[in-house]
Amino acid sequence: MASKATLGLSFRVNQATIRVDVPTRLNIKKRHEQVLCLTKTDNSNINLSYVSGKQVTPALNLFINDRGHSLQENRLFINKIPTVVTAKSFTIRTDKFLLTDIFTEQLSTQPATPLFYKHTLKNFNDSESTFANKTLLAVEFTDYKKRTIKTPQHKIDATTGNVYSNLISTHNDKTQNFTVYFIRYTVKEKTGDSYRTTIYYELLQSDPVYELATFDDIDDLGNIIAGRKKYIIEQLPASVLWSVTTSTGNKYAYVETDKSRISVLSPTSVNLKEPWLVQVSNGSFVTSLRVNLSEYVNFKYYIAEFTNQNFTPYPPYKLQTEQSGIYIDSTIIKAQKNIVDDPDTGFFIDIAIRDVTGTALYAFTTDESKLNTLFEGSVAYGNSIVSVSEATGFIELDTKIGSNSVIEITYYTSEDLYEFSRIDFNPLANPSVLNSRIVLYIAPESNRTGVVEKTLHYLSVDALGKITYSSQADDADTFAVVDYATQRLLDEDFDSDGKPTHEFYYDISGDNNSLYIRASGLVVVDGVDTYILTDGQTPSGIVLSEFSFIDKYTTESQLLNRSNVPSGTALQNYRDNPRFLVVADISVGQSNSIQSLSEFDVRVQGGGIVEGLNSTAMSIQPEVSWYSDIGLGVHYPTAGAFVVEVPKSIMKSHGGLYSQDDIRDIVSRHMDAGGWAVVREYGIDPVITSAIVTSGLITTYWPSYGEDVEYNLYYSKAANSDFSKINDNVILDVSSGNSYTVSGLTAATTYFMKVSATGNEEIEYFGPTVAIATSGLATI
Amino acid sequence: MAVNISFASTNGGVAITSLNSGDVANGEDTVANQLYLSHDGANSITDVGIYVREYSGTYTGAATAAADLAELLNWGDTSTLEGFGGLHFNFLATTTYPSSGWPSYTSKSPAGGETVRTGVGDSEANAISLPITTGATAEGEIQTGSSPDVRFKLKFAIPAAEDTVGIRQLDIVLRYTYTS
Repeated sequence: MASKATLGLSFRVNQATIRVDVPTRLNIKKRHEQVLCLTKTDNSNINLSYVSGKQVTPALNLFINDRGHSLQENRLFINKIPTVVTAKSFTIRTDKFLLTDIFTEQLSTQPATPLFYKHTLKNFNDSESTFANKTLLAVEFTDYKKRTIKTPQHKIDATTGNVYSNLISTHNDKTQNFTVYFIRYTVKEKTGDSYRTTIYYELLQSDPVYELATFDDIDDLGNIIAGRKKYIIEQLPASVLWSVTTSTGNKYAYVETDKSRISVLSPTSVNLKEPWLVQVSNGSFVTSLRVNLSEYVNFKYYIAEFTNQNFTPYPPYKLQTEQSGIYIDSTIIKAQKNIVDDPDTGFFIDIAIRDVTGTALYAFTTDESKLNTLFEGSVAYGNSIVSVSEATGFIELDTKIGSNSVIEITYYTSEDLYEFSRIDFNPLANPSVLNSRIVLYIAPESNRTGVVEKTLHYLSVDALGKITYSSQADDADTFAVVDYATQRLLDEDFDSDGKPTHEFYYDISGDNNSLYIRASGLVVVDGVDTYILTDGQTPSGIVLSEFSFIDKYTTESQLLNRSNVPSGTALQNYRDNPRFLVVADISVGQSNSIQSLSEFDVRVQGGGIVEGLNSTAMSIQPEVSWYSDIGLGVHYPTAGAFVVEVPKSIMKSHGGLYSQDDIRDIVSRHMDAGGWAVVREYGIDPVITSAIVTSGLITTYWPSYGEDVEYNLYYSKAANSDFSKINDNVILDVSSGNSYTVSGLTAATTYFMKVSATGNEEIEYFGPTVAIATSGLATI
Repeated sequence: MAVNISFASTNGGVAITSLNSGDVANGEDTVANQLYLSHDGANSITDVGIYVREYSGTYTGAATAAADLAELLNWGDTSTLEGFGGLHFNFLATTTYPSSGWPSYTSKSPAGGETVRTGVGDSEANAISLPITTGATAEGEIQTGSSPDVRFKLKFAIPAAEDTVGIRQLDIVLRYTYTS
């Protein structure tokens, strides 16, 4: 008998986590866009076009890894304590120092302290005629709120109106922290038989007590005129020291300044609108290094290029035009560099204060001839600049400005840094810096090299640690003057364009931590077969120890263990031991972690996620509620910036329909409040550079824009419309320059012409319109 | 003479008529329930086979009994990692149910295990014969006695791709022959 038994089974699926591929449409098909800060988002993110963090600034996004201290002589801290001497002449190992003969009174509880900075009371020591009638009653130091601070060590010369101290105002670019000192003093002035007492405030000047002598300070015998707080300095021959000479054998104290050594400093620019050019302190020092078993040679480390900067109007001054200023307080701003404000030489300060839209609100100047004239035809120049701390760049105003003001300062600065202009680290202008690290180094000068024109060079290193470019190898001038014995990156190792012919890499796994060449076999150096040292390989012949100079931690060459080196080659290595000083590694990158990034999309209303899947998408990815057309449309609570690249051909300047503001208006519809679109144009910009005209002919000329580029020429009798193509067939590029002749034109008539260029992108880029008149007499 | 077969959770334990395997998320398996079989016949029952059918009781699931059965068979039919699942048997009772007895998407019918799917355990004709490794005296044969110690394990594997939550219900049926 067949039969059955039954058991009822049940279970519950209580959770169904699924991955849904949500169809999306991005409204970016017609735009070429670029993520500025390259950061990946999680794969589950949908429809995110941009990832952005805080405002991109040198303070947040430029990273300078100071490696200059790897050479002992470039370490500053070892001599930060003042040195006291009592002599008219003494020696010092740098030419960047502060010198003083002003000391505080020696007390039983405290020794005499040298005071290195000087402030001259502007309203006390203002002129010879009234000086005798003034009495200095009280002097106090205050903070930027004009609150009296605990009396620091100082000394007052009530005769000259000089106040000496060690206080100096400071500002930190990265943290925005600042310390600003004022000085408050009371002057009793006699006018006739009456007295008037006045209290004055001034930004504390922190001028050095002693300065380098000029010709005016030296008498006919070459000595400094007695009483002048000046000094003469000269480098001692065949020595690592400088000799300093003053006017008398007083008691002096000197201390090396922060710029007495070679180091890389952040750019002065504060935003993406300006180039990010790092600065190198113009330090200078000499060190004696062993070059073989018995011989030492003096190597001089300095910035040979310093004097070849673009000075305005003459060294050491530079005109800083409309440079961004730093807001400190409602009445205090700061220029990015020191200021020279000297009516006698025509060095003035002009300040423009704008609102965020760029509209000028105020204009201030120290140039009296400009007062009450109009700035940009809208606001009159005022004399609201109350005091200036020239050494530190702080400026006090008597007009209050808002914290969101846009500050532009035009001023002269006394340049004490070398602006390294070969690489713009602004990632907007030079996106390639995002993918590489720049290694700045000094190739020193010695009796082996003679005087060199360039000492500062750089390597470009990719993310894998490979050298991809050597500026030194690319610099023919350098090759011409640098001796082989000191030139470690040999021309055999690089093509003429600076690209390495070998593959370099860091060996961080072995004991050497050195740079090696990943290649095998022989290379020839100066006609000698030379082996390349690789891991585990027993060297023979001449070993290229010079490649080890870009060591991760030191600038010294990696000298080989003599037991591993065939006879004679160790000496070779000593002799060729490079003396490069790697100053810094510089890179540009993301300052925030991925978790702290803000994200937003650029879709139009109605675009994006298919409507029927909105709720599904939101349950999976709650962040979709930040999108303006999904659910509640919650705005993401932060701002961001991104780059929109558009072809030049659509711009009004090239015959298109849009201005940059038009494009920004369009883009702004797709972004959250506070976002900012940076519009950049790309493409060819063909320009008619010249024309030859006769009565009925116009021949136009324009340069080559690439061998694959084709051109069309257009003309019209109206400036902005009715352009007709002149040529029947496209005009093919001629590498030496292009031209096209138009005939049959009316004499004495103005024609408007423009040339277009079409490259591999198949986009026709129009150049600007030029007006050309035919010669001769017009027929009436 | 009628013979009554019992499902129980222990050898010789109280007979059960329903089994709730509990809550489970997609991509996971329910707990493996062990079922003991016994009967009250005077002789052994033979030709014992197992198959599934629509739930015959009062349906309280999320869809329909027919849909649950079709879904279960579909889970067993699917040969992808994310889609595979269903009702899995492990008959290796005498070797304490090693993991090799459980089916997987690469091996739906391993030695000593089985996946219910189309053509396998989906009807009386396709019933899965009770193996000897369950403690049976011979394949498809359950000896007499209230505690013959014939047992197997079953569990439900929920495909990772399953996107519908809710209660599923179905019957498993024991087909057998008794000769008095």
